[in-house]
Amino acid sequence: MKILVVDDEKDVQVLFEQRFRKEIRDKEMEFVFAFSGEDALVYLNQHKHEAVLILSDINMPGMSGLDLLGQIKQKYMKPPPVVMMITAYGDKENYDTAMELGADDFLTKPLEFNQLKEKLKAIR
Amino acid sequence: MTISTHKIFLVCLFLMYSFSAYTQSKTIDSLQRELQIFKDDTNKVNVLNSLTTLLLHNQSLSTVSKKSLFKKGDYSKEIQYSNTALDLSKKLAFEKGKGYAYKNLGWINHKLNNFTEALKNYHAALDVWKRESKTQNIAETYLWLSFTYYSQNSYPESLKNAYNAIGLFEKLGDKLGWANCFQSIGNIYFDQNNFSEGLKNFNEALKLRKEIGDQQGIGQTYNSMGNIYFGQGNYPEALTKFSDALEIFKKMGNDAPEWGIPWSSLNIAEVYVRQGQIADAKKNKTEATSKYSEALKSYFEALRIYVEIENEGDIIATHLLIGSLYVKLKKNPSAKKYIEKAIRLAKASESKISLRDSYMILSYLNESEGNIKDAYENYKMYIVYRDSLLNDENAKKILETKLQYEFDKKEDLAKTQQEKKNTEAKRIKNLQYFAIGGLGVIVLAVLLIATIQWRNNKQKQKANDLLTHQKKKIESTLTELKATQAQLIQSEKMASLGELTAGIAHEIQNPLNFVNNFSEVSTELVDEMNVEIEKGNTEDAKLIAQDLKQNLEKINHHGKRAGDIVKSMLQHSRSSSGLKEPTDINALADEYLRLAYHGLRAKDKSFNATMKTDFDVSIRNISIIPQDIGRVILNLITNAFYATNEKQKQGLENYEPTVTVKTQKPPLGGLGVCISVADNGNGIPQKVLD
Repeated sequence: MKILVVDDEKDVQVLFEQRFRKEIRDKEMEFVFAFSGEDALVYLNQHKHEAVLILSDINMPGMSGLDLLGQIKQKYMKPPPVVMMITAYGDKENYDTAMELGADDFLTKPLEFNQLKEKLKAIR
Repeated sequence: MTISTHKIFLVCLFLMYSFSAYTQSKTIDSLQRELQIFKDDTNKVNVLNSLTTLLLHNQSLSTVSKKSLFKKGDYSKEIQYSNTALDLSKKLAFEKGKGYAYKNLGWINHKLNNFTEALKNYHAALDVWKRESKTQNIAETYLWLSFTYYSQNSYPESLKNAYNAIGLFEKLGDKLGWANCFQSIGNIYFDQNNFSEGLKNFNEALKLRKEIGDQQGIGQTYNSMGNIYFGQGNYPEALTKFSDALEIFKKMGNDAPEWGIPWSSLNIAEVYVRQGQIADAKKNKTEATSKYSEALKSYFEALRIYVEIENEGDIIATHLLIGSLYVKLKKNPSAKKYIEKAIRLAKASESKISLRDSYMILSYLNESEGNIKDAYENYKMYIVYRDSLLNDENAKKILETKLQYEFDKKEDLAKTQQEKKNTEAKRIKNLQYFAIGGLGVIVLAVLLIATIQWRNNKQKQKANDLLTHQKKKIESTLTELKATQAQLIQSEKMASLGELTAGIAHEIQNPLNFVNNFSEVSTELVDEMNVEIEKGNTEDAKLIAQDLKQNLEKINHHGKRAGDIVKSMLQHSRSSSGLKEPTDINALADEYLRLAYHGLRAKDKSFNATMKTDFDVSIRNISIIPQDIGRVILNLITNAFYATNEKQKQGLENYEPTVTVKTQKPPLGGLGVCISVADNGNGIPQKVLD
């Protein structure tokens, strides 16, 4: 399963690569990292339908995660990738907007990786 | 209801809304002592304003009450304090001090009947509060203006300002202020005999007062409504409302204002007297007597309380009312007893109004006994006091004119009677009959006049009593306020951080995310490393060790990041010590840039922009007050983001909103650091540049 992670913090990559090292090693999952919404869209354009799951932060400079979500759910329709929002802002407004735009899930930071792993298992 | 009714609200308002930095739980003495101690700073301004408030408050209490400590109408101290406060505030650019000083000056001028000056002051206060966006103060000032215009008989202006105040109190959700506006508007309409509008407004006031459980206000409004019904001639309904008010005040027990029960009782009595008069006119003697008896009962109830609270003015007035009623009931000895007592008390407290009324009623009492000589002497005394009062009181021009008219009519009548009696000695029987008939009319008029006069007086007394009550209420309220004030100052600071707080939450969650997760994963890595060591795979173990070290460094880094964020937050909330400290200006600018950005993002999700930094790393720590400089930088950055956001809303293609923060040594040389914030927004309009 190819997963695209979108977050402006570079350490997120290191973190994911460590927390999922077993899954990566066993080739269960493959992670790709984009550090902005724009970069994420570029990747999706170039690698259509490769990423089946997208994990995105909300608050990023430039295009926000919610903007990205909107774009993904509009453009990449058939079949649409699963998009989960990961954000520090666990407020209702953000949640509602994300849900309205078609987010499949909404997680708050600090991330509970065990919880995340459970959710990812459910997708496959 | 007269102008003096409005004085009640004026002083109520004054007391309820004259907050200042220091509360009225401090005494005048302690405040005056503080005045000596403080340097010329904002604290001194606050003390000056508070002192003025207290002194004005005490002045309002001074009346015919024996307890009057202050000479009536001498506001020299208050004027002095207010002007000093104003000057100092101007020097210190202390807007709040200016606002309160102007308000106090407006109040003083109003009391001195310098209406134009008062209006000027209130308008100046209004300007201050508008600049400071203090909605509560703006609303209150509108109400002050309303009353001043009312005193000036500028009813349209008065109403306009009252409505302005209403709008704001409604916005603030300040139901108490809101209700007071309706009450005051109702009074304006009542005074103009627009009973339907008056009632409408009183109903609004009542609704609000019930919502906030303002028992005293409810009682007050019931009385006002009763007055409306009385004015409309709907006596049963008036009686109901006055009785409701009485009920409320009785239920309040010790919490009831002093004036509550007596005022309501007197209103009730008034209705009964009127109903008695109507019965008299219909020649229904039994009915009339029964109504008058009811009235007497209420009078006595009121009198009892006035004696209890030692309210001179009302004691005298009630004696006169009782005396007049006894005259009506043809119980002259009792009537005389009460009227003569009233005169004694009035002379003791030098109350011209009471003396005027007393002599008039006594004169008619004499006349009814056939004692023409004394009747005339007493009538002359009445004239003396009447004229003297006319010269004194400009503010009661309208009412005085009304009364003048009534009195003139009665004077003419009395003169006619006198002449007839003198010239037609033979026709004593007819004369007596005529005199009694005339007396009947006159006593009716007297009662009416006495009632109006008494009401007039009563309103003043009510104002004073209201003040006493308000003073006590305020003292306890403001004790709380003092405690709350310290918290409020804090929360104001925190509120101003509101924009940053959301951004800060994000800021902290990110490093926390890393600290938690890297530590967790590091624990796992240690286990893995141990497994490798057990297996003897030293190279693999070393690789894991490398990862571990990297993780720990990251934990350290992100932990510090969180710590810096918290530190900067604390610095915001701490009051600026005014001390300079060595600060890394690049880090400061960067922090505020990120905070501003995330704060704005939190507020407006459509907002985004690219942040660029261009820091001169050769700049070492500089000696500045970080909170102050930080705030400046924050404002610059926020404006820059705003400008780019505005331009972005225009929807231009290929527009990339960008804000750049740059630090450098001054380009043209010299000391210091040059911090610049640049944006590619719409720029300053040419008009402004010119």
